Amino acid sequence: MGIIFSVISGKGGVGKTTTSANLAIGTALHGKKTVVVDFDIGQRNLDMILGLENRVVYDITHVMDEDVKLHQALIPFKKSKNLSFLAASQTKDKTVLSKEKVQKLLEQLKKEFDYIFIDAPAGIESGFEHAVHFADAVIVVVNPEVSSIRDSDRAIGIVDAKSKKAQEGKEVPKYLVINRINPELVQKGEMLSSEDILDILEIDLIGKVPEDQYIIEASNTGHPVILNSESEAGKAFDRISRRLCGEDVAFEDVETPKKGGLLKSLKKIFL
Amino acid sequence: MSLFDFFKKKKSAQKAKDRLSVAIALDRDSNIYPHLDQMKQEIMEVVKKYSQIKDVSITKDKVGDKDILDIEIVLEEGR
Repeated sequence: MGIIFSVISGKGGVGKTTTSANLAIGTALHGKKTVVVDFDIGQRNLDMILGLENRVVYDITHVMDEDVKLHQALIPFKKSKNLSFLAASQTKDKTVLSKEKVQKLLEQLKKEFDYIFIDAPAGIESGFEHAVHFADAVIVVVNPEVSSIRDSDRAIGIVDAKSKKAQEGKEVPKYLVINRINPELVQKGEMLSSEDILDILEIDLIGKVPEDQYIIEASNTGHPVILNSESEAGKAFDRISRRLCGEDVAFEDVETPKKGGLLKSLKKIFL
Repeated sequence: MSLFDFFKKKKSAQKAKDRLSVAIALDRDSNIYPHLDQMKQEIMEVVKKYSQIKDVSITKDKVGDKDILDIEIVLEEGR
């Protein structure tokens, strides 16, 4: 039986889709049979990030309405045979989702995949509850910035109140990804540090992702950043993927500006 | 940023943390007790109806992991 990870945030634009895409690729590359599902009905962005926009014929609503079989709508990702993608519908009508339909779809996916990543709409959007209801765990994406953090706390509140697991009295594991960390600003005391954010949100950290010039290039070209070995953000997403696969990966310091040189190498040896 | 500036003003990250801690604490409370304000109002009215009072204060405290609703009613003397 597969595990459902809902990737959530409080507000839009924090990098939820980028996180979903990269973690799905990462876990697939590390051996898990993975599917990533775009649940952001009406938006449909994950296909662009994955570089699969020209491959979408059928989407999630076609499967839920049983117009086509699941395997007809699953799009294989070329760089890893372990990864499939299911596109969001572009219809503006968000009432296409019903709890029964969502449940049926996710049960099918759980039979076929180890990891199911759901790219959820932002916590304020309708459709959010559908995307988190059946989650086995949630991955919360925040930026080190007040509105993102405050809104994510509300989204976490909804998960704790409305998800199936929570209603059965079970705890939904929550993992925090801090995205777009600017090390220079953290050092100057002008950006919340990961420690500050963890104090406020009180959930488990699974990864820190630095701001990275390659992210824009990655979405421009549809070539996700995790596949770029030069990219610090890509490396960070790879570390998170390995943690999700159960590997014990140390937390890298992404909050000190990279200078390189002897001192840093010495620090690495002694710390 | 000079050393002098460092002592003069709090860094914005620290300010953000202070403000967030308060805002989120309030958000969480209003999620758990969405009717708290209305309840306070109604309790006040009932108490006023049956007694001469000086003051009523209702506060919510946390003792360990339990929330305690504390209602303090100060009565007029001589009644």
